[in-house]
Amino acid sequence: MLYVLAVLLAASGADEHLLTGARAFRAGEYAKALVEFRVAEKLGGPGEASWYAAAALQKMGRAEDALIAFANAEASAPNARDALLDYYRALACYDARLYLCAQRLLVQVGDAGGPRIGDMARKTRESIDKLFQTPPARGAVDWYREKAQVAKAAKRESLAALYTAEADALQARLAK
Amino acid sequence: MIALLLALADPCAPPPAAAARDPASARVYVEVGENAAGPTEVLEAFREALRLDPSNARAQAGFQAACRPGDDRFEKARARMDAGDRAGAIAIFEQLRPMPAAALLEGICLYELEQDDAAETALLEAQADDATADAARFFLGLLARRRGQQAEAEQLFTEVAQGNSSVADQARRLLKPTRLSVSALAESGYDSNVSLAPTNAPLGGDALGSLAAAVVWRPVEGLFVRASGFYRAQPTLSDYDLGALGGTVGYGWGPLSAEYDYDFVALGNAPYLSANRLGLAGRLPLGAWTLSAGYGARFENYRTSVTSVFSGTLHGWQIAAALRLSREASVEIAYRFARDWTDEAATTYFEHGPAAVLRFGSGRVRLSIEASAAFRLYEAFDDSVGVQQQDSILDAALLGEYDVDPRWTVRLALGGRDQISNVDELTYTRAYATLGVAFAAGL
Repeated sequence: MLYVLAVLLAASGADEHLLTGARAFRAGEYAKALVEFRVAEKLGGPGEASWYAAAALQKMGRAEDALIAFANAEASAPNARDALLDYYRALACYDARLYLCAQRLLVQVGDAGGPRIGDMARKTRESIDKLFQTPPARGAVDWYREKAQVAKAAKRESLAALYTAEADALQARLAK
Repeated sequence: MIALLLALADPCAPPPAAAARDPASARVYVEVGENAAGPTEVLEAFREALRLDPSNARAQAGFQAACRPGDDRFEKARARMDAGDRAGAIAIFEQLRPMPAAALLEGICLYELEQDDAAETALLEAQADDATADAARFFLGLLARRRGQQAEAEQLFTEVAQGNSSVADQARRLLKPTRLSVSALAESGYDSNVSLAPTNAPLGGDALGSLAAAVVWRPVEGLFVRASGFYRAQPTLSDYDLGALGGTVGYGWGPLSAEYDYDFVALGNAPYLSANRLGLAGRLPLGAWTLSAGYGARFENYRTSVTSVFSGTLHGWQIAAALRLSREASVEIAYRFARDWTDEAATTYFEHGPAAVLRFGSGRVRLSIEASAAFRLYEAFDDSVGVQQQDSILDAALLGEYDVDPRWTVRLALGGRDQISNVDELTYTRAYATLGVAFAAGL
């Protein structure tokens, strides 16, 4: 009984921090939002808070950290994902120059995130399509492979996997 | 009121205490702060912890550390690097780039982890800044040396040695030529068609074991003296066990080199061949390309009655062009000419043909694939075979090497030959495979 009560109290505490984080996020106070989401995660376990923390990292301009956080969130709380979070994840991919990763996510987002997000997703997709109007350079593939090496050396395996996947996809395009 | 406004404006001003202390929540914020990666959320978390519980010592310490002038991530990364946690150090240095010092140390960590391509990118970034340029060049030189790009490595070490940075002495030491070096190779394997005669006549298949050793002495810059020995034993065809001793004196002057060598070969433990050779070579680097040419004259004296008709002078010419395709790969194509002026017209020949080799090297692994063709036409009708002999010799070989450490290398060689001749008994195919261990050390 005490255990159930403790869990309920912790959960309500987590919700409170989740809401505080969401308010901070809307106000553009992303560092504060990130801390609140992390506190919510500590109190309530992985869930929405993990995804929002990743979105806050994207907003703070830390694309690689955001991508690792998104990968962790997906592994620990796959059901808490939604179209808006996928949009932020796509932006993190875009910021990290993982354009094919961004494109794949933006296709999934479509209009599911509402007309405003749908419109922004479309514009981002168009800018990626423009980037790929000319064939990728051989050096680009090497750049992604090097980034994968660095991420692997730093034991950031999920990030290394993203860079490797991008390099493989680009190489396949080069081969065509 | 003014104090409150200042506190709001300055994130490092002590936060106003919460109306009610909440030590439990403060502990959660401390945990979040201690696990956060970025300075802004670290400060945010400790600040909130301190607001909820001003007596929390960890919150105090974390807040003060986060507000210390400057960023201590570089020191943290250095500490991790010094403690051998290269992965942890790289993760922090990566956040600090393009700070030149961070790029340099990240490059060094990556070099130590043998992530050569990524190391090169970071070191090139560090090279762009005067403060870290020499140290970056020094490690770029080590990278080039590990890739087997000796000329590039020496160029980089020379540039560093001319300066007065902390690595200049190390660069000078690396540039100092190794006076004496020794190398040895022990191999065993199988050859399906041992071919030793000057006619390339096949003898049959056999297992083999061989040992080769060489000592090179460089008394002054450019001059070298080499002594080498080789012995190959075959359990079945033991009459054809091969032993060779050789000595070379050579001189290199920039891109030009000249050498003289003497070889003595014994077959079945009996004298077989003695030869003197003079060689000249030159190379011209042109960006990613290197053009080269060489000439050699070998004065051969066969010591058995059967093979003495092949005694004479073998002239060889070669022109080649090598292209570096990427940091790991290069290709070289060559065309070779040979003219063997022997004592008899029937054994005198002209030979020519192309050769190509693709080389790949990454970290400790090197791989080369080589193919060549030689078209040989003898000068006169040979009564012993009833024709004017004409041969086409096609060779292919694959060589893989793995450096176990800087001195020991494991070596696998696979190869084959297809010889097509207008003399039936000289038409044959041959395949061989050997596995060996090589040792090399400089004194």
